[in-house]
Amino acid sequence: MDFHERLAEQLARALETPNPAVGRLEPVGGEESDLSSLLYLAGVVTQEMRRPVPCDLSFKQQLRASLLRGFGGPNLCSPST
Amino acid sequence: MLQLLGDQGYGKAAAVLTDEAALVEAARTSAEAFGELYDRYFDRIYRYAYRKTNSREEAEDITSLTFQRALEGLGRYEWRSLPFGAWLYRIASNAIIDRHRRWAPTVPVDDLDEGGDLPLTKVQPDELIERVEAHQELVAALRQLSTDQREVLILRFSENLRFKEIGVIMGRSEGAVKKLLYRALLALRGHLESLGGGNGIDGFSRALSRATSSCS
Repeated sequence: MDFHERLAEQLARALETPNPAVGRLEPVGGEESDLSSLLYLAGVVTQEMRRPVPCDLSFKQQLRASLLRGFGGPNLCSPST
Repeated sequence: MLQLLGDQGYGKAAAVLTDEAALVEAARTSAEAFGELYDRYFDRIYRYAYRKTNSREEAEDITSLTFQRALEGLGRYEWRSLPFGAWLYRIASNAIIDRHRRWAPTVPVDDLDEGGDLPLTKVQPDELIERVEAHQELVAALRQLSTDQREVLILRFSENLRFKEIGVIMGRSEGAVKKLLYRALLALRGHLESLGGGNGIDGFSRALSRATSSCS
């Protein structure tokens, strides 16, 4: 296992360990802190990607109704475009 | 049998999996059961589609297509070859690929939202500017990643799936997914450093972190 493979494995292990501090760690310079820097970045990306996405509740309900209407027969649901 | 559990752990797995397997079986003939599956997975599939397309309209179309195809294909679906959640993600992923292959000349894949849905309340103007700038840097850096690199970041950090689950969806081994994620973060960090005008990841991270803590 080379350097990068070891780091990839360590990173994966750290990410699958519940740690609410990830993302709040201050990044530090230097090669030896590569994992810490990537973990920090992972936390930042997580914060960004977990922001709520805009969703129209009526779309959710209408799609559900449309799908269930089409259940067992011709499907009436189609994308808007 | 495996349901996508994300980080909720496998402790409750047996009951959850049995329940979902039975639900999928029932959904072949019962609209009510299919509705239950829809309720379980709508938010995840919509969010995944939104993260991939950064467009509400496209996310709605992709979500609609995904469940429509799931309904049409449920009779042929086999749990043994693919967990139900992974099957839905795959349908959504294929729908996005098909759509952008067809629409590429007019609708760019990376027609990314530039932060229009950021929470705006209780944020001072200078903090908001800082946050939007940091967000835009991240969006720009994400744009430069390969499709697979972005996919693994979305499945891991947005969808909170485990490496094994991501491997099932992407058709890769767990080890390959770990390497892909590592390479994706390395590449992302490199892009952020080049975008940061010398401030690098540290400057970007501090800006985003300060502004994010102000927003929350």
